[in-house]
Amino acid sequence: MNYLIQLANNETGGGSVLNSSVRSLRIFSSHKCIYDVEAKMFIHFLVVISYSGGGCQDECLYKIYGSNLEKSTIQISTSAGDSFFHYTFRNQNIVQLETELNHFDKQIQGEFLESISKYLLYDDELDCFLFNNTSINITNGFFVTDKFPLKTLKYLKNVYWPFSTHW
Amino acid sequence: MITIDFNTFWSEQNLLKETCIDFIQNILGPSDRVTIKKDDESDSESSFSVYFNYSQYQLKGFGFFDELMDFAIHNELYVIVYDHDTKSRKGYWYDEDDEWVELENVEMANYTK
Repeated sequence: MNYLIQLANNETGGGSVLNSSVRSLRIFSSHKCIYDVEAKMFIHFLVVISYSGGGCQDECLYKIYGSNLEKSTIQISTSAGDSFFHYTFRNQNIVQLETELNHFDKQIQGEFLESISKYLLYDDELDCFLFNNTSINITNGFFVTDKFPLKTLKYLKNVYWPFSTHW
Repeated sequence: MITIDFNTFWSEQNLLKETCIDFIQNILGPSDRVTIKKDDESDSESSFSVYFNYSQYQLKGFGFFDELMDFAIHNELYVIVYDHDTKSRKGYWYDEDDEWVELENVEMANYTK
């Protein structure tokens, strides 16, 4: 799995943001790519958690069919535990609403939830995720793994992007 | 005409070879020729490359780099797209920078042998 983490105000990590605010986590994103043998295509899954304005944090699970974003169908669920995708986009237009996650989607969703918990802690009082991992090297508030698909993340803001963070 | 070269497959990666051929021909259509080239012909357990020749494509305007890149990253392979007419190539190395590297005036005659 690939990760991108950016903390507000160039935080250094190490748990220092735990006592901070809903804005402390500028963005957390994780990415997983699988090959669908039957469809003979790659499917990209991304989770994004970020500040969405008004003192709120939002999260999205994106499922992207294929490698070429201009041709891809993109499905979006808007909460970690959602059992359906709220929107399906193609060429930046909504083509379908409310599609159930299939068994495999739920499996991937579970993997994401597990991996998120390695990096983030949910704060009940603040009702948001805060960065909570002392083992990774956050430099100037930023951490990204080698093959994190930045191009894809940037593209998603043209499709469905409730977050105030822009790329 | 272009050649798409995926390398390096280990000798035991026959299933991956088949997956590669399926994947490429599914997105680009049937290849004029698919070549499985051992790195050492005298070694039965030699690693190998898989080449695809396509006469209908050119490097300029080729619209499938994202697909090739995904396959290369996912399977830890290198991929080169070589244009025989312009003698230019673009390569993606999964273990290096996340970008296609273009090189001009390259002679890769062995792709058509």
